[in-house]
Amino acid sequence: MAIPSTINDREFQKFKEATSLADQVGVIVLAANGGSLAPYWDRSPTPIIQNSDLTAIAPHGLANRSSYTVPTGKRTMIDAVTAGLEQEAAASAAGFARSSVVFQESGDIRYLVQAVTYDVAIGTRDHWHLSQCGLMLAGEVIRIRTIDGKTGGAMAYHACFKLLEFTP
Amino acid sequence: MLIHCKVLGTGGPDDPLRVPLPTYEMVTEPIQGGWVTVRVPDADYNPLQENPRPGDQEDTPQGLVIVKAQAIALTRVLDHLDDKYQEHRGQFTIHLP
Repeated sequence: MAIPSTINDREFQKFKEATSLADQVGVIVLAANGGSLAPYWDRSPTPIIQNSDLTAIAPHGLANRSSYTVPTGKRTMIDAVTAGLEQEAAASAAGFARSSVVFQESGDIRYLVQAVTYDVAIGTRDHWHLSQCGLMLAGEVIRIRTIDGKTGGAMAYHACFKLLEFTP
Repeated sequence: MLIHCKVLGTGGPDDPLRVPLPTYEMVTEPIQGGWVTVRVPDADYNPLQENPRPGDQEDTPQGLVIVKAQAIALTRVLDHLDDKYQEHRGQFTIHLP
């Protein structure tokens, strides 16, 4: 049966007669069957874009360049993520360099997208993009990370994520 | 809002250079043991720029206003973050220079 958004005592008696659950549960949720619930993008949405555009960056350890955490009582849709990097000045020794967007829940890190190079030559590059990556729950974290384990040289990095935070 | 934060971490695989805040963007290069400027959402950090004491605010030629944050304002911000991000309560810190 359709559940109205507001209900008076008489309607509630009709509702109780139509279901056996009303006497068994402590909370009755009205209008939660999807009929009157707006889509997530219409529920107090807050667009969030975080970007990391870096040039002439020397080799460095792992760095969390950017971070977003889903607030308590909210959810966040990951609309798009992108990561790229390019060798701007030749390195003297090869090594591992990465630009990435990572997802973290309860301590574990998972890579959503990553661009990687080992080569030292100018112009070496990698770039990846992903869209509609799914839903984040309260407390979950998305981050932009970079690392360059080469010796000498310099790199350019680009990474970005576009999110939509909303009320569940 | 931009705030000046101490960098945590060594840059190792399990200990990235980072700022212990829920949401931020680094706008300067992080250095192990050093300081970094990060962009944070104004609404969460407003107490840091409210009611500066005489001499604790400086206007710059670029139009930016630099405010020395007070410890009591910092406490208010961290309490707010603990409330807004209850799944990470107690994990956030800001070290004042």
